[in-house]
Amino acid sequence: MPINIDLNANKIKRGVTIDLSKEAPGVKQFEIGLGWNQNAYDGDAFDLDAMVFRVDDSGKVTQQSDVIFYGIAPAEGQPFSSPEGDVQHSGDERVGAKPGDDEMITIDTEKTPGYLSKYIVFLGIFDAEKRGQTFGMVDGAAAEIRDAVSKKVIATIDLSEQNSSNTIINAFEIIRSKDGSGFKAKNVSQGFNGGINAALASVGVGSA
Amino acid sequence: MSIIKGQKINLSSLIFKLNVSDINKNDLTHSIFVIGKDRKLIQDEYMVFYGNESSPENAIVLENEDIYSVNLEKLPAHADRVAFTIHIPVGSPESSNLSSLSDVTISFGDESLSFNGNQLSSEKALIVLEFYRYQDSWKAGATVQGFNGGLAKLVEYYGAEVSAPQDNQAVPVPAPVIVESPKSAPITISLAKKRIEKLEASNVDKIIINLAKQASGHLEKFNLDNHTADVVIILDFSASMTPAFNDGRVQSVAEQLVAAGALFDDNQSIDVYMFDSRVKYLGELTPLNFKNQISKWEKQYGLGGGTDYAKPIQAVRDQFFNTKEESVGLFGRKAKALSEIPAERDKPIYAFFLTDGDATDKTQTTRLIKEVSRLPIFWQFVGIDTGWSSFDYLEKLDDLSDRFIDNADFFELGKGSIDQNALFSKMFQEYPNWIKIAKSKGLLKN
Repeated sequence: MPINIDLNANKIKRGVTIDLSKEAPGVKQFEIGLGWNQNAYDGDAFDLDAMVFRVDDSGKVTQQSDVIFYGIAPAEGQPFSSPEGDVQHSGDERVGAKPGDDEMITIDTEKTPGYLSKYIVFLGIFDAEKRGQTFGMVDGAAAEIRDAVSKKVIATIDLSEQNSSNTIINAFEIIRSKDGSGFKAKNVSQGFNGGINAALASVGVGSA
Repeated sequence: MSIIKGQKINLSSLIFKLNVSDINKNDLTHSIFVIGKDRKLIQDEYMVFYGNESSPENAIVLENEDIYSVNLEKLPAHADRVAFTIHIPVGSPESSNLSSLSDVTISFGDESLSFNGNQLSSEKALIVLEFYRYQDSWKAGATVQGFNGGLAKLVEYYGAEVSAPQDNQAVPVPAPVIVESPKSAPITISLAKKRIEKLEASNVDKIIINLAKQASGHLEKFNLDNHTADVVIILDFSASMTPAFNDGRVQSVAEQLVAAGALFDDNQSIDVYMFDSRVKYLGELTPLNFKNQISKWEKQYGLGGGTDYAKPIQAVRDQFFNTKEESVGLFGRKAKALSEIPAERDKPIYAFFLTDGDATDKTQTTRLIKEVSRLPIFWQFVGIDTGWSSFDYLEKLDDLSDRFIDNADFFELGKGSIDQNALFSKMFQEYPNWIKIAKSKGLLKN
């Protein structure tokens, strides 16, 4: 599978990296919610996926268990998690039928293995190329990162509007502070095309 | 700038022209719906198309066939979204959809969106572009998604009224839009007008368009301009008809029937039968294939002996009211199982029977005409003078007793070339009255 990162896509909306640590200091458990509406039209369903890649200092995933995505789910809709339990995924929702969050990921930084320096949260459309879909076609697609304890929203991304011609987005990152003071969240909002393979390639893994 | 499917952009101006560029002349129609936050049409008058050329405050105006002028600033506050849609024409064959669409470009302001059928599956109606309020302004989005159910489904999706399907095979036809403005009385856009516009929009020979306009004038007089019917022409292929084929009168009559068929049916096609001692379903005549078709069939099958009326009458009956199992398949796609035959039909069958003279099977024909008087088929027998003509029997048939309702009429075409106006006028002389009686007797739905 060739790596296919469409650089032109960013001409439309360059991703903005925003450091959110000041807005949400001291958060230890993060929650990422991804929601969208079911396809009102005839045609393929919209199957959005929230996934997390855990990377080391060099920005690469070093083992299979660092990729927490639908491919490791025991069955459709069943929750799954990283072996250490720091990343919990609510389960693979394939049509957007749930009220509120269709998929939710919880990241508990108190359980983070020592070799990791960053969590990268990717949001993508499954089979987007084959189905001819982009975020702009998905009604009500939005993601937010919250403090899992207070439920306070730290940042929101409107996928339907801001990343309309993309199929995958590096949405948020949760980064270990160099000074050892804990983790901070970043709103990256870097959209591109090419599907999960491109996302995996960007962090040093081949096609799943 | 060109945009792609799914993309959303800010609008640089709220006043622009939306232009439909369809250089390959795909068979499609288009419309604009103004919808609220609930994604429903805010009012019937806010569906803008060839039948309703502007929204009440003129925010959306269909300027000509392919250009809308749009002024989003004029829209009322509860208008949240403006959807530009395309659809295959109502009444297109069941199998047609937009997947075969070749490049269409929609331009608005400085932007353009091109798309084709490769990006689609089996949609018959497509929401191509949406202009929508976002924060304090408007954005445009290339939706390019839609419904397999076509315009009827689209209209339903936007919460507007859809009239009942014409019959169990037909594509549902949206109700004629009633335009009510305080300045004028309600205006109904007639089906006939829409069908003429459809002819004009496609690559149809002017002959048919002009004939259709002429016919439409006659239909209006009888309030038949919203009428839908299946049209069948039955041609006498007996050898005595040779002069009428040779001098082009049969072709000319057939063309008038094609025009009538285009007004009576969204499918804009008529079924053609030949008979002498044989009977054969020849196929469909349409505004696109009518030229020289009659002489092609004449050459293919030849003119033969015998003038058996009962055979084509039976064949037409069986096509629409399949009463015998063995005729399933004989007329292919149109044959229906007995259980599918509706007790009454939404639309009648107008069967035009062109002959130069008396039947060789009078007894059977008489019996059959009586029998089929319980069916919503109107038999228009037309005599054509070939020098061997004799119409004594047809005149009797016109006034036959013992029928459920009077289901047949007869008139003669004079010698010489066909007077089109006179032919239309005669064609629609007795038919309107038959419709009324057929409805009152329960053969046709009201």
